[in-house]
Parts: sequence; C-alpha cells; structure tokens
Amino acid sequence: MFDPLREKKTPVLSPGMVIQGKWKHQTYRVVRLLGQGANGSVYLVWRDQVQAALKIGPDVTALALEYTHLENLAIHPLSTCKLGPAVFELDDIAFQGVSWSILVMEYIAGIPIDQFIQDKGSNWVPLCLLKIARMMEQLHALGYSFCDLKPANILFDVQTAQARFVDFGGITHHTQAVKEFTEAYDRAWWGRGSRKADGYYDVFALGMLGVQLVAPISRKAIEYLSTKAPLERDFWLDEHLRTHRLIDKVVPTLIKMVARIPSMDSKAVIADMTNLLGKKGDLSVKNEMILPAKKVWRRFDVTDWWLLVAVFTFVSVLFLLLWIGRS
Amino acid sequence: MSSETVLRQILLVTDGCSNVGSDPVRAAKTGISRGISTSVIGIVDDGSLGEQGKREAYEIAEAGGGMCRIISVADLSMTMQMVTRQTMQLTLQQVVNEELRNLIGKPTDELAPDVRTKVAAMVDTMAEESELHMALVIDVSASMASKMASVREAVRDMEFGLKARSGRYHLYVFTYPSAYSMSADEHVLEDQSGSIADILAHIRPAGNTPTGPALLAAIDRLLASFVERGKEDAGGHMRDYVV
Ligand SMILES: Nc1ncnc2c1ncn2[C@@H]1O[C@H](COP(=O)(O)OP(=O)(O)OP(=O)(O)O)[C@@H](O)[C@H]1O
Repeated sequence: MFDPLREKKTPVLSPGMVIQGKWKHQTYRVVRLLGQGANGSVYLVWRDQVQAALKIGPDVTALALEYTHLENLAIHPLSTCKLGPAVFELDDIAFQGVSWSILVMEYIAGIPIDQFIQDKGSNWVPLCLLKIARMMEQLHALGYSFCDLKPANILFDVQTAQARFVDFGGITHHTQAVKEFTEAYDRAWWGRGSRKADGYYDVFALGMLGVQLVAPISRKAIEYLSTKAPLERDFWLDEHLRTHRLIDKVVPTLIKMVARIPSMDSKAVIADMTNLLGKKGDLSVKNEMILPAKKVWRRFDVTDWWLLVAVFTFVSVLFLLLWIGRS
Repeated sequence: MSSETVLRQILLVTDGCSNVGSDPVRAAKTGISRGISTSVIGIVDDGSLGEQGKREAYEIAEAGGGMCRIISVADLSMTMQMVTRQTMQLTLQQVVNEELRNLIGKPTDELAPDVRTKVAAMVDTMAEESELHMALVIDVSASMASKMASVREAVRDMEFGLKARSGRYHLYVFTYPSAYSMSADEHVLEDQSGSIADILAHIRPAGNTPTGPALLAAIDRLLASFVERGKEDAGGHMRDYVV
C-alpha cells in the first residue's frame, strides 16, 4: 500500500546503525530491512550476540497490543509448541528528536508459505496445513483466533519445515469482531459467515490459503469479485472449487473447510491432513522433514577474540609454571 | 467508562481533488473541534487523484485528527475496516491520554512500556465496545462511475464489520455532489432488513467535487445525532460522552 505520509513518518534505519532503547537501555545494531507492512517496518538487528527482529511503527497502541499477545502466549501453560516469535522487549527509541515505539522479538529465519510450496512442490501442502492447524488449535484453546491468515504472515524454515506465525496484530479474542483481514481469506467477504472471531473463522481462512496454494485465485479475479455482492462471490467460489476438485487430493478437505455451514474445527483439520499424509507416496515428505537442522553459526566477534587470548594466556602460563617446576 | 463511550467519526472516500465550495481542510478542522474526527481513503485507479489530490487527502486527515490511506479500489473493503478501527483506537488513545494527563500529569508516550501495555488493552476493549456514530462520505463525481460497484460492495462489507462488533453503531451515508443542492445527499434506509449499499446502486455518478460542503453536511448530521442521543437518556451521564 502506498502511503507517503507513513513513509515519511516511519524512520528509515540504515545498516550498521546502532540504536538504544530509552527504558531498558538495550542497544541494537541494524543489519537490514526484513519487511514492511501496514503497521510499520521490521528490521533484522543484532541484540548483543543474538539476532533479533525489531518492529518500529507510528502506532503505539498496536505495538503494545502485539507485545502483550506475544508475551501471554509465551508464558501460557497451555502453549506446547512455539506459535510466534519470543519477545524481548517493548521500548522507545529517539530518532532525529522524535520518540518511536519499538517491539523487539525473536528473529524467525524462514520464507512465506507460498514461496516454500513453490520451492518444494504442492505435495507439501497437507504437511504445511497440518502444521498451521496444530498452531491454530493451541491458539483456539486459549480463546483466540489468528484472523489475518495470509502467506506473508506464516513463515516456514527451509531446513526443518517448522512453521511460525509472524504479525500478531490481527489476533482477536473469541468475543470480539475480527480486526484485520485480507479479502481473499475472509469468510464474510465470501458471503459464508460473520466477521466475529471464532475457531471456524480461522479454519475458513486456512482452507482459502490451501486453495491459493493448489488452485490460485488470481488478483484479477479478486478485483472482479470485489464489484459483486457476497452471494455472487459465494457461487463463484463453488464453481472454482468444482472445476479444480481433481487438481490435488487435498481439495475435498479444503472444500469442507470453506463450507457455508462450518463442520470442521482445527482438530478435524489435523485429523484429515494426518490421514492424507499417511497415505503411500507422501512418506518422502515425512522423511525429508526429519532431516537435522543445519547449524547456524554465530558471528565471530570481539568476545570470541578475548576468549582466544584468554585461553592462549592460560596455556602459556601453564607451560611457564611447568617449566619453572622442572628446572 | 468503556461501554458508555460514544465515538463520532467521518470516513471520506474520494478519487479526486475538491473543486467547488468551501475548503475541506477547514471543514475537517471544524469537525475535530466538535469532537468529530475525519479520515480519508483516496482511490488512485485511473489516476484522477493526482499529486494534488493526494496532498489534499493527507491535509484533510491531518486537520481532522484521522488517518489517510491511498489505495487501489480492489483494496477498499479491507482498508475501510482497517481505517475505521485504527481511527477509533487513535481517538480513544487520545481520550485515555487526556485522562491520564489529568490524573498523573503524563501522556502515554511518556509512560513506561509495562504501563503502556495496560493502557493499550483498555483502548482495545473500548474500540470493541463503545458506541460508534459513523458518517461515510462518498464522492460520486463523474470520475467515480467505474468504481461505484466496488464502493457499493465495500459499504455492504463495512456493515458486516460493524455488525460483528459488540458496541452499538449508527451508519450515516452521504454522497456528493448532491442531485438537489450544493453539498451532499444523505441516504436513509427505509427497510431495515436491507443494506444501505443497495441504495448506492441507483446513483449515477456525475458532476464536480464539493468535498468541503459534503464534510460540513456530515458534521451537522453527527452533531444532531449527539443532541438526539442526549435527549434519549436525558439526565444520563454527559461526562461519559468523552469524545
Ligand atoms: N519475527 C520476525 N522474524 C522474521 N521476519 C519477520 C518477523 N516479524 C516480521 N517479519 C517480516 O516482516 C514483514 C512485515 O511484518 P508484519 O507483518 O509484522 O508487519 P505489519 O505492519 O503488521 O504488516 P501487515 O500489513 O502484513 O499486517 C513480515 O511479512 C515478515 O516477512
């Protein structure tokens, strides 16, 4: 989205720049820009010896809310697997005399799910949907929906095929109205339900995500449909699914997931996807995913040099003592 | 405090620059001085907005205490929802800031992050529960003709979004230029079961762009709704009408 005012307003951090938080006094060294969204820019930074993702934006409330959600998820006793990035801190920085809110979180090395499928092939779709459904199930058990489920917000690790959500700005409690959505994934836009957050809302969005991966709906089609009433979109989707029902074995499940009358919750999706994966021919996918993760090496820095010097000194002193003792 | 709060805001949807009547930036200023914020969505398709139109859009939003987004018409539904929600948060944040300033003499951006997260949670609940009086001001000058179908559907979509909130809402829809006067026409839904969007289907876009007068008409309407509501529960807590 083009927004000159925001562009002007959100500070542009350049690589190599060092910034310091106002409250916690933590320093960050900027590496590069990771991505830009409606609510700000995300940068890769060094936080001491660890890489981190730093989100900076004009909306103080939005960042504070996202921080709260991430923190609650991390400490909740029901959370068994990691859904999103771990949080480091919420803070402010001064940039050219103006104060900006920042949210610093774990850096998630991964690529968006659509790219991941492009690289790996569509026989990976059930596994990806399974992983996302597992994360959803946890979120739903806590009474929340993710809502703004779109490829850019789901990152997959290329080596381990581990999935993580980023951008928790859309996460909504089940008593509330959906805050953020993208038309192509929104149940109400397709004329198939309300815009109140519930578990089924996410399942619908996940179903549409699956559709985008195996039988994409073009931007042109979405533009055309945006001039039509929800009822017509609803028919159009039926037609689209009917014509593509043989394209992939996952489609029948997707059709159930986006049905007008919801019948599948995240548990049912997990069961169906597991079933699909269990069938012969998909074992390769399963085996490939248990390949060990490639080790990522930390940058060799000042601390390491000092360590080396210390070890060297220690050894020299040892030899010196040994030599003195001998003679 | 939360469920009693009433928010009043204007959302202007336009694809051009104002060219007749009073100054829209001045109108937006008038609005905010009466507790009504103005946000703007500028549509770029077909390029009729231009640099001048973009600048005006930003100036109106800035003067009106709202936000501005420049988008293509296909993103209208999503953007209308986002702008509405964020404008509510922005306004509520200012209200809370004001109260905090009175209480402890500090605005939120000078609060420690752990206090700020509590404030944010409060703002979030208030945005969900407070009563919203919203005037949608839609440009139907000649250049909008090709976009009307999308606009109509985006308005229908907006109603879905508003219905899903737990707070009450009133949606007032204005189109300009008026078929009868120098400013805007208000559209009222007679049959409550239908959608106001269907009324828009009968409008033939034509004429010029009196944005200023249209905004003033919307401000008048929202001020009148304020008075009506005041009468509704006379003796209620006027203090709660914080905005
Ligand atoms: N923790 C993270 N680790 C790695 N990359 C990240 C992380 N957080 C965000 N990103 C990248 O930055 C991009 C923008 O971030 P994010 O989606 O949070 O911003 P936003 O302003 O809320 O965007 P949107 O308009 O999509 O709602 C993401 O699409 C992702 O590629």
